[in-house]
Amino acid sequence: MLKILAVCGNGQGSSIVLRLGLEPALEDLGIRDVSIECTALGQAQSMVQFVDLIIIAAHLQDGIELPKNKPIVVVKNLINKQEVREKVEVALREYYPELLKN
Amino acid sequence: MRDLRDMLGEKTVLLNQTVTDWKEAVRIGGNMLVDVKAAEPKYVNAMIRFAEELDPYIVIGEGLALPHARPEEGVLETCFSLLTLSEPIEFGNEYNDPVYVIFCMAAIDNNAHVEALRQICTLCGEPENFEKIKNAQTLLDIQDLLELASNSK
Repeated sequence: MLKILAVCGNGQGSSIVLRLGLEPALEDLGIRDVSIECTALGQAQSMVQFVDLIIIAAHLQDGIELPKNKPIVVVKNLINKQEVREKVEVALREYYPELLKN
Repeated sequence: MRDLRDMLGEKTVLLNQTVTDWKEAVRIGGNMLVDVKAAEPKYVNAMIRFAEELDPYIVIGEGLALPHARPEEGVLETCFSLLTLSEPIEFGNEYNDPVYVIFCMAAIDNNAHVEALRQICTLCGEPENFEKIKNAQTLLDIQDLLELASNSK
């Protein structure tokens, strides 16, 4: 299972917006075995090592120490499904190409 | 009450307003939530504090802000308010400023607001619809758009 961590200030706002954008994008890419956890910056630090991909708003990325060996998807316009989809696809292609349909 | 259509009404929608800065905008949007007893007055200040502490990342999309704070800061019931501005304002977000549309959010937990948030994303994620929200003149305009977005998911 692909484990994704969506991070925002309190785990209720933009991380859920990111999840809502991710769901159709992942389905489109043929990835169904996935879990998306939404969390606050404060809790995220202890979770980053246990997930496969981290997605975060551009403005928050300096608030957390992100692992260097994992895909980090940084999104500027969170409601732009095209931006979310393109960036996630690039990250998956680089780190988990076996998960993509083609 | 989980549908945005039930949350946005005469008391929770203000269109084409003029404000001097982003804090005033959050205050107006927040006070609407207080008026419908979705939040305690202290929640309004919490939303402003939250936006200050964590950069202006609450500007989640181009021209769109989603001010909110934690449930324990005074949320009484899950609800949203909508404020649109005739002159946009800067929140200090380098990617998505200036802001025309502000949805203030009061979420009682991690789930009850998700469906309404989905409706906001559907609505505002389409540039054409977002323009219509920006230019809406009456509550009826907003309700028509909501109806459209709710049926097209």
